[in-house]
Amino acid sequence: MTSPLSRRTVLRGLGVSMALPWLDAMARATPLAAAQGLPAGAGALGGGVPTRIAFVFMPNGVNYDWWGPTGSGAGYRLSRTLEPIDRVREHVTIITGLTLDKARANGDGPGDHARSSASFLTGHQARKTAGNDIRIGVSVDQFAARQVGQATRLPSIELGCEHSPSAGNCDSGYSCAYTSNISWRSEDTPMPKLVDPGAAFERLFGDVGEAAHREERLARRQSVLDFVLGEARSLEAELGVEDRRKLDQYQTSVREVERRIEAARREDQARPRPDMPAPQGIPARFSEHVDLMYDLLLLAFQTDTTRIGTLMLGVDGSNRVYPEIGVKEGHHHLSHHQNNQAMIDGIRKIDRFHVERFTRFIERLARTPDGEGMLIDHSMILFGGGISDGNRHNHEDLPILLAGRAGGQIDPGRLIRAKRETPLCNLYESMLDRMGCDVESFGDSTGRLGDLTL
Amino acid sequence: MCARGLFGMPNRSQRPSELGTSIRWCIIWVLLALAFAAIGLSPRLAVRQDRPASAWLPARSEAGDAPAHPTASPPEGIPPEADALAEELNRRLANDVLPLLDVYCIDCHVGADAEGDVRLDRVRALADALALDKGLRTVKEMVSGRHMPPDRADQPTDHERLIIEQWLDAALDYVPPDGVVDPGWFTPHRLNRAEYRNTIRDLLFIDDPDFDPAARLPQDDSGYGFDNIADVLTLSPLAMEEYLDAAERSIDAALGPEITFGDSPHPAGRLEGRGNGQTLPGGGYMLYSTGAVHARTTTPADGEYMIRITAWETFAGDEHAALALRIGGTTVESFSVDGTRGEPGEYAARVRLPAGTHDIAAHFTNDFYQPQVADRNLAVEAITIAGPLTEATTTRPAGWARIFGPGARSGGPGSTGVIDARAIVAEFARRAFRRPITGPELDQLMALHQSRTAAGESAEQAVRTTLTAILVSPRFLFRLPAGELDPATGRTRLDAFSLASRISYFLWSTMPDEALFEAAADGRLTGADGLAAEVRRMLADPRAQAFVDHFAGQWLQLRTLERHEVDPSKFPEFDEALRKAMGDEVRMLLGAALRDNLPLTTLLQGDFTFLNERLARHYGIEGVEGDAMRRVPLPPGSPRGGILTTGAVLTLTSGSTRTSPVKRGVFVLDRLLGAPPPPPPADIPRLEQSPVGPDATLREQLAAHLADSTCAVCHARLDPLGLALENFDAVGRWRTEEAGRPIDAGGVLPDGVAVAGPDDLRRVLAERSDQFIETLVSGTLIYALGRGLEPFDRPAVRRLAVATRAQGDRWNAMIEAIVLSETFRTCRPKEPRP
Repeated sequence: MTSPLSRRTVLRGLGVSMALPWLDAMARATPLAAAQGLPAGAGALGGGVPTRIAFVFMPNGVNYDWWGPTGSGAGYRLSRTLEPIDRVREHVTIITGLTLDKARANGDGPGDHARSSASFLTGHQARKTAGNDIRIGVSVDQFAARQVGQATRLPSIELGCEHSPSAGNCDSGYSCAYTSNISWRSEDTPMPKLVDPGAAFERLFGDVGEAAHREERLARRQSVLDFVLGEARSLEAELGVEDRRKLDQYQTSVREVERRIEAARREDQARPRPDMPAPQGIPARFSEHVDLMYDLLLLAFQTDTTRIGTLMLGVDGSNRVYPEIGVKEGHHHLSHHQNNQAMIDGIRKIDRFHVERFTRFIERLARTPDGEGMLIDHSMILFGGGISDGNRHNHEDLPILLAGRAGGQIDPGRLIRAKRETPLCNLYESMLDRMGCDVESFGDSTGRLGDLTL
Repeated sequence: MCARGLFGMPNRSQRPSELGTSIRWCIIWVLLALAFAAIGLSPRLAVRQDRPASAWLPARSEAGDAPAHPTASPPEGIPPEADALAEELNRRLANDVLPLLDVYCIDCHVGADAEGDVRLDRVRALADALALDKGLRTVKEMVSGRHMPPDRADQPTDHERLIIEQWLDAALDYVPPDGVVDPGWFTPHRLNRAEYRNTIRDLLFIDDPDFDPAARLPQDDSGYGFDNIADVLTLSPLAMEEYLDAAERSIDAALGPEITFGDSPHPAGRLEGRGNGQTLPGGGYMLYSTGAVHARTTTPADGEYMIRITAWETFAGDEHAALALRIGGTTVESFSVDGTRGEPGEYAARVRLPAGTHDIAAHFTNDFYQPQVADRNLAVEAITIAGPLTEATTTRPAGWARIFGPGARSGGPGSTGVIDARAIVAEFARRAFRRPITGPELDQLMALHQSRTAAGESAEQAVRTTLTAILVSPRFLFRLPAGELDPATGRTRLDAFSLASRISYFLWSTMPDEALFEAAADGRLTGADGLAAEVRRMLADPRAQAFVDHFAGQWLQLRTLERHEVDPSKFPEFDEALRKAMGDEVRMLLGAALRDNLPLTTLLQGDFTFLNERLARHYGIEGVEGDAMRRVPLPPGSPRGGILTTGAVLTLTSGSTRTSPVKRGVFVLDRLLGAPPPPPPADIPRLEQSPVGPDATLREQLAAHLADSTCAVCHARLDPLGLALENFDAVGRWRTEEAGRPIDAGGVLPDGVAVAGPDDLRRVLAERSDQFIETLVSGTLIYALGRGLEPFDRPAVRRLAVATRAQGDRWNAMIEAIVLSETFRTCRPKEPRP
């Protein structure tokens, strides 16, 4: 279970891969895009280096007293919690004033935690249900994946650092599907996250087996999927209208796997794997687990295995304890601090912990060569959550950081103060533009966030 | 009665899109509201009502004891004298809601010229409200949407508005308990991880306990407290890819690899010389002194193999070079090498090897060297392996013969394979699809087989490919509602095979066994007697433990115990052995209730439990030795008894460093009595505004709850229930003091009943056994159906609860009644989404 070695192994692997910056892998990815009739380097602008986009979700809000930075523009002042950002200041845009209105009750009563995660990337109001007829909306990452995800081996990757609660109800009458997932490929199908680093590694870099039998196995898999698609079609005739939804889901997923197999067959040989053993198990130290998942996201971007990712640092409402920073009470418990100073201190430590981990990730992106520049130059990494102050469960003035310059389409190093109640989705629309997506309106947006460039 | 509020859910006329609030939300608020009403503590009307002695939770009313509301004019189908929910709604309407309507609404909505033709002056009882029909929904939307009262008029406070909304929701969801049973829908049900794992093992006869076909499947989402809810079990591309991978791996695990029998040699692997020597120009290795040449080879099955070593010597001294063949370090044969460089010799041994990877080594064991005079060396040019040599001497995994049939033989040089592909596929598909397979279905499968042989696969490989396809087919991955539609009722009666699967996944979390298939085939599942007989047989089978484990793990949240954090500095003695014993205790208690056919009330107050030495020591019970869990009578005067005082429940309802009376109170209300309180408000009032400061003790903080009327509505019920368990610490040990202060486990419930410890709490719960049984019926029914309960399920639940009580609260009787119910045996289409 515990493997203190695993993180170091990844780091070693990372060192190796940085010495050999995956030119082969990159070269192979581009013809694939061309073969599918996508614009060269779809999602890329300027020089063909693609833009990467990731969304990092932090649960339970923050202690806003220590989060809120002061001033504005390039001369802004970092707050206590955000101090570590100073190390990557030139890469980060801080945006205040953004609102996730759809996480508010709007007549649905309690359940802010479920709504916070469900609405975070969708900008939709979750239909309140414990299971029957789950409905939300397509999330921003999947919106992008649908348009530009076909250019890479995986349209997107969904990572997480915490399993969903395994029993009981998740939040006030909301199904756990809403609290466990932030990524939704359709209004009723979430994209489950990978929490085990080994499983995530296999998903990103695994292949169907020995090179000798690769083509044979891929062909066999294709015939199997062809067959079951036929089965699904014949079954449809036997089922009622509502029951067909499950079959639709099935067929869509089968087609997605078929697409991957076809893509793999076009690559005439097995993909290079990062020169490292797959991580084993979940590290006992939470910081190592978080770093490992960030590293996998970096590797996925660096190798152009995918350009789109999400990372759920915790399930909203999480009661994780953080013994490594001396926090022995649960995160959610502490977030409702009742003005108890010891509890407030605990929550601030947790906030700081997550800012530290994120900063480390940005530092690594800034040291990883990519095209003419560094990976961070071609990325948009959003960090935040759907609750602002965890004690109050308010959904305006969210804690949002955006790292990277998206190939020169963002001018970071600034604090942008958006007008109060500006929908978070306005920022998403602006980010989707920069991915080269065609977007008319996303979620509850009211327009673009116009200030990302000077 | 409160548990009936569980079915405070959308009513028939309500379309999902109109739901401003959801099912769970309704449940919670209905229950809360019922409780408000019962304890008379709704803040605006904080006038203590005269209540029956135990009204801290709405009680089940016995038939005939509740008079109709004086102004009610009950429509047909609502016999108010038997309907406690209607009674509660009438009481709340009169006490809480009408006074508000009279203040804020009635001025405009009165008389013949009432605004919008909504005459609220006519609404004096539930029946009047229900008579508004769709108008009631409009009223709800106007209130919830803050359209009414209009801006210019006096506005109710948020809390007052909530009181009205809750009542309207409850009224909209109202279903009379004696109504017609509506079986609800049966959504195609993807196997969840546990079901998939068990089914693959049974279907493929895999007995390797280390093989987990579900290991890489994504975690299933849950709903209604369970992870087997069809509507919630989605299928992502990631899951699909993992199903494909798991299918291939499972087929390999069950059958082993495809084997070509015979004595045709192939290199055993790359040769690696270890010792003083040098690589030979044509491959191979020359050993100058004692040493060995190694090769690593993988054998596909446990069988006989021929290993051949091509070698020669340089002769010196008075004997030939000695060659020892060692496998995995053990010498299996020794040779005297007389081959020469010009004419190498072949040294062969027939050996039996298990499946797996082996180190095969040719050792040079008699080096001889006289400087300048004589030098004996050994050259190893090749090591080959052939085999398995014959089918007869080969042992395959059990699954091979069981799936391929006893007469099956693989192909290979010199022997024609005997694979009856059609028969193998037909039998496998029948079991995998859990129903007889039709001719056209089989033809489809055989078309796949033929296309694979045409693509160059061997007959056996093509069968394997076809079996893989079966394992990712929707007919395998989903349980489907097949049956005959009765056009008159619009209902489908599940056919015997759909029903058989529904039963086996309910009781065993796996596919039906052959006996159940036979019962389905010969019509025994169509009659109540045959069905009941099968249920009894299956409950007596050890596989029924799957039901106990999954149900207990989720109903009592035992699964959260597995990841529950305990602060090691505070509780250094809490270890994994203790954690496991705690979980086992509860699982075994539930298992005993089922196996020994005990009254379910034993779970509330039993005089025995299951312990091993570790857990007994934790409980301070003597005379239990060893690691094995066994049934132990509780000593007289023991504070334990029933699931509530098990270490598991007491621990998982605590924080990592200390107990949480609130969590324990919620557990009692939610899990045992089916009446969960609403979550606390987000922004809990600052304590400095409360009578106590930030350093207040737990009990002082709880006392502050009661001083604040907003907190008190819930905490007046919750806290005494949890405080009664304060003598158990955060890992469930008995204690009489904390930090030098004596434990005070006393409290008073809102109805004035004093509760001063676990015995009192058990007594209070025993008085609620009706409610406990109904809660357990609801949970068991959700698990059995794999769907959440809806308002229309209320009559079914009521009947099942009555049947269970009539049978002495036996779980077996409840389960039998569920399987025999129309809800379980029939279904109807789900309303299409708007």
